[in-house]
Amino acid sequence: MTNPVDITIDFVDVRGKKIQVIRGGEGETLLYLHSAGGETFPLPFHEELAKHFSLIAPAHPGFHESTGIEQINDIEDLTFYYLEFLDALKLDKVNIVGTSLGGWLAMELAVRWPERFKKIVLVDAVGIWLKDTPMAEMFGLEPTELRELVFFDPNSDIAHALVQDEPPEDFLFLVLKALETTARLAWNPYLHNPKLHNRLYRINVPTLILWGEYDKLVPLAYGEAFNKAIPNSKLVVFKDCGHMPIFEKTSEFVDEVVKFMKSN
Amino acid sequence: MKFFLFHLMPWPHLPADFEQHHKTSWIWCSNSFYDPKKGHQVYNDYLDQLEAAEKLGFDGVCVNEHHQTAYGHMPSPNIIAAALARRTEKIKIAIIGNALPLYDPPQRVAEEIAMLDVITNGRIISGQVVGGGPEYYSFGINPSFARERFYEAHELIMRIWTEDGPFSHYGKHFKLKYVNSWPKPLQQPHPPIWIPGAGSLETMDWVAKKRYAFMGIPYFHIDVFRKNFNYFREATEKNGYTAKPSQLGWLVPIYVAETDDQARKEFEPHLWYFIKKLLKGLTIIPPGYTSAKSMAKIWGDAQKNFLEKVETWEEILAGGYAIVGSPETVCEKLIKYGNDVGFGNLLSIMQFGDMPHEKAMRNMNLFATEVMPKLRQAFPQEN
Repeated sequence: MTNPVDITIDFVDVRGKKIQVIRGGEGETLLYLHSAGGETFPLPFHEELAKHFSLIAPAHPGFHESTGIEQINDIEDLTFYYLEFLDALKLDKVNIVGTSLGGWLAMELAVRWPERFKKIVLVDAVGIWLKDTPMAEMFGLEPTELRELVFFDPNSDIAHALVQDEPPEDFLFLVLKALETTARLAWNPYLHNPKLHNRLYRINVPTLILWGEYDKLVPLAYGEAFNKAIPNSKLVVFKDCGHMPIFEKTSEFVDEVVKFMKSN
Repeated sequence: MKFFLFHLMPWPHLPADFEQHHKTSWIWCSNSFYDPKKGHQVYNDYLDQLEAAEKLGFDGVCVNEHHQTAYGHMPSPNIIAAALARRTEKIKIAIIGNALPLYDPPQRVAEEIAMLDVITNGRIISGQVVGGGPEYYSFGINPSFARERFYEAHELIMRIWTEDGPFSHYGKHFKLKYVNSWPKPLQQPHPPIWIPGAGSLETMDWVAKKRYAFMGIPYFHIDVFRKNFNYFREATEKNGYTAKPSQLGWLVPIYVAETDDQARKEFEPHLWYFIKKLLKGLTIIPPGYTSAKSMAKIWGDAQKNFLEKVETWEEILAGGYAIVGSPETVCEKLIKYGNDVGFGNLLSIMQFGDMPHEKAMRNMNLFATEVMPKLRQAFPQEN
């Protein structure tokens, strides 16, 4: 049995930009890159990961209290921003987990500097476009529609907690900021970089691809395409799960990450 | 007071049960609802109305730009302006506007407005807008950069009109090695600039500073216009001058018939066609188009005073969302709002929703003969 861990939030200064970081746990470092949904406040999956790793979960610029979005106009700018973050924290040969937008970012980093990473986990990642299986529209949705899109069970407590019908003003402000930043990065081309697919062969480290079987935003075909394009990869599919295994399959997700990171 | 006939060119042939099956007439509303055979008649009726404005004594006409929607099928206002250029002789043609961020490169706007200005011997008013929220979906333009693109394109166009080329422009959004547009506008230093706005303080401050004209975007409660126009007048004072009446325009649907009852009876079905079918979706605001802070404000405040929320005829009249009645009633109301809210340009929408041609023409005739002369007397400034 593991004991409860302390989760803390602090700020890192990276060349004048303030980055909010959730931390917790001990052991090997695990860098978690969050989705467009902005899981940037402590949540159960953070705590579960921190029981096994030294978790570092930064908020992207434009999300929560991280600054510097004015200088970022596309995913490439964000990729270089994170290169600076890795340098500032002296993270080398780091294990990385990225959900959705965070998965895309992990791949953009890994195709450029594969030597900076030890193992990679992609969770329902965006980043490429399959013309026969378009990703669904995530912008301009009512809360009900967004829950339907993102969750296997849109009526679950977690779905209603994360996508609220009438959020309090401070929470609404975070949601709007998250959407605004996502649009800035991924309005068009929609949630992808047309150059990424052909670069994926460069990811030469062990890569685990996790996917919700019923992901309506980024269908399983994307997981299969990533599995095909990334040389040393493995795909694991969660049953009865939508776009967000971190919420809908928290313990299974953590188990898979732990198993993968501890394997040789 | 100056009188402009404003046309949206709405699609009048949506099915009666449209709103029961469709959330919006924008972006995702299939163009299978469009019928080019009927469209031929619709365009020509609308052009007849705009051309008639000159004979009826209007000072100008206004055309405007919207894309991929039944709300207004005038994706190129410059084409409509071109059609009017040679069929009119005296009236101003206000294009409000060209949605600058949708033109790449923005020289297209500088060129076409200059062409029209030269052809019409200087009768063009250049309206310049950011474009509606839905258009950022329809044209794939990133809404996060809407304002940046607008300001960059605007400054470039003004430079094209007022400086000699060729010159280079390397901005954030447009990179042009040789800018040297032919022709240049006939009006010097440039055609009048009208900026429509919904009440963003930044926009009104900017318009006041530049000494352009501010046009209140319609469908808000009269209180919203009063507040915005007062703010604009204060902003001009802060910039060291007093706003001229011509710097403010009020855009409003107007319908005149012999009696108040008849006017309501004739007008009301078209109003509901507009509200229930066409208007839904105009307020789709893509992320980044308005800052997260302003968004929170818009959701709480402005939407309460927006036509889409109105459900009864009484609210329409009380809020001044449309001016409807006998010539006496319409005259009285416009004089009241003219004094109370203050505007030098009245931009009247006289064909509304699915209003047929004959009705729109009757409305225009009555307004021009029974209302306009009295208003000209009541507001002699800049006649």
